[in-house]
Amino acid sequence: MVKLLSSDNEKITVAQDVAVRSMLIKNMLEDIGDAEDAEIPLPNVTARVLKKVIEYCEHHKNDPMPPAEEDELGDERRRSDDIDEWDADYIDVEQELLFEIILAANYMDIKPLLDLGCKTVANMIKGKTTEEIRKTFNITCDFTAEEEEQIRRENEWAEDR
Amino acid sequence: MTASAPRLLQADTVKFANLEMVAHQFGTAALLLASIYSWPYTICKGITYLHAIRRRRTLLTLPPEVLHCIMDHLHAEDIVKLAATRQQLCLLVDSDLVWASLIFLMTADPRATDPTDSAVGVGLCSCVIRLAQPVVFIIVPVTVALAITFLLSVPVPVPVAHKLFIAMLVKFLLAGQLATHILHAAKLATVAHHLGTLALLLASVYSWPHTLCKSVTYLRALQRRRFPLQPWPRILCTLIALPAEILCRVTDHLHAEDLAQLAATCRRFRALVDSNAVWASLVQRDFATRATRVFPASITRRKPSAKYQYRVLADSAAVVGPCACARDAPRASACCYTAFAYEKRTAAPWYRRWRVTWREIHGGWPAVLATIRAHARTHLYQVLLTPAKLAGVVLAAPLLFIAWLRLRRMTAHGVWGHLARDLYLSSWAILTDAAVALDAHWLLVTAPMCVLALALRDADRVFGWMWRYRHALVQSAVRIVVVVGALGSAASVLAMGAQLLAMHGKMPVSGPWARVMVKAVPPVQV
Repeated sequence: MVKLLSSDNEKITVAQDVAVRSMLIKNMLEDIGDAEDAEIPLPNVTARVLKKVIEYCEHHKNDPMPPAEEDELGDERRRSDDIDEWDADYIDVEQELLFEIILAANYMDIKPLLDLGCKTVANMIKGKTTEEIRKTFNITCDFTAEEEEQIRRENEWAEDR
Repeated sequence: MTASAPRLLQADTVKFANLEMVAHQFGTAALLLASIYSWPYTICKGITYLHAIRRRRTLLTLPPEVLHCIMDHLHAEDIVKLAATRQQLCLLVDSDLVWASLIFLMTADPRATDPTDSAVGVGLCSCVIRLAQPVVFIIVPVTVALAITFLLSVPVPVPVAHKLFIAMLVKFLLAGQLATHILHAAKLATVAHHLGTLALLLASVYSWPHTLCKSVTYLRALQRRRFPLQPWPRILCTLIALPAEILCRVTDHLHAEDLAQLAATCRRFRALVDSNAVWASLVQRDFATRATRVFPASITRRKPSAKYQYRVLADSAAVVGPCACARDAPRASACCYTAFAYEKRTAAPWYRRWRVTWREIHGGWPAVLATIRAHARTHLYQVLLTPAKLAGVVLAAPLLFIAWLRLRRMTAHGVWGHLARDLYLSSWAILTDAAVALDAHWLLVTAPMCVLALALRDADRVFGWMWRYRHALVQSAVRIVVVVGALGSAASVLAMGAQLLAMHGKMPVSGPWARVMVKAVPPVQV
């Protein structure tokens, strides 16, 4: 078992085969050897997000480990419509928690979870107009009217493709 | 596993991980300290200067009685010079206490008891004036006038007393100017001292802006920096606040039209979408095969941006490759790509929407003119009309026309139709490119490509029809198999029955029908 210490000083105990889904934790465990009482500090992950991440790792603990090299993933990684049902239910959370999960996955180096979060965000962007994207993600427009028109003209070729 | 492992992790690992941070902080702090070396000096110098101004003991700050004591020990000529320096001293010198106890350095007549006589004997005109002001101010002008008249009118040698008096008069006239010069010199010295001190202070604060800027930059860098085992600064979890590397991962899953919409939301996303990394990733995702052929790695000098590459590859069904003018005009800041593309969204007339060459021109008019010149020289002035070219064009033109007629109404198509369209446009591109090239053997490829395109178009329609009616086709096939099987089985049974009857002599085996049944069914061995 591995003890994880969240940023709000909450200790969470997880099985080692679950914890090693995170490359960060895996490397740290390799550094210290097989320490059962090891308490690994994760100062950038709150307990709420950490529990959510552990939930993902527990469900996918039997999956094959992703390749280390990013290029080996190829186009499969870029397909955003291959989210399975459990993952879709898992990632169906409010936006703030979604972005915190993405940041935690990036920090803890869990590539499948990071890809899942990025695919979810990409699906939220897909097919939306500029105004809808702004409304969805609460983005403030800082363009002048002329700049906005110029951007539209620059990117006109990419629309309706 | 040892019991000290957790302690090792919590103590040493954290320390080692933070070592870089500590070193960075120490280094920057040392730099800051080194850069503010002049601050204490400046402050000390400024305070000392202010204190010196405030506490400065000058002759003028001494009390009058002390000044009187000092003047008691001075000679008359020194007192006169002293009075000329400042107004305050001049008033002090005017008092009778000073002049009552004058000491003359040299007395002209030792027997003289009158200070005025002594002053006259020494030649101090100022003392004479002080000691006998009424006499001086009334008598002297008259005396001067008389003396001048006398000196001018009497050609005899001037008496000694007269000479002495004239000398005193000259000195008196000069004494006023001398006092003015001394006063000015003193003022100038004071001003120069102040200016020098101020210049020194200004010179010592030159590093203040640098220090402030460095401090602000250091603090910002410290805020942005993320150390492995240090808590990051708490940021508001919104899409726009995510790090750029994560946003690049998000854009990897988006299409070009989504990126266009995203770029129009705010400045940060516009900068992100305009970055080369995003489009390079999209080119590799969508056009990995064609991109290496159209934009080979050998083109490094004028390789267009990834966004432009994506646009060329997306807008053109077929891109043959870099134009020859890119080789022939090394100084032309342009790159042409022989492509056959159709611009959908443009206000240009229909005949200008189709383009055969795609050009990206950087720079000003000289670069544009150089490109056009090289392009014209390459493509127009070296065109040779050979029989092979003529045959290729004559052969391909009607086929292309037929292909255009057949393909222009193909709106919804499958993969075979896509291949047919690609082949058709590729043949156009090859035709237009090879027709003006010296080597025209590629022209001979265009006619077979057109034929293949037509065949693929028909295949696409057939396959599409089959796919559309696949259920009915399967049902029909099953039905045919069942019916044919049933008929075959019935025929076999009938044949076996007939053969059995024939063997038992109940059915005459004669005629053509009986021969066929005997051949179809082998004789049964009873």
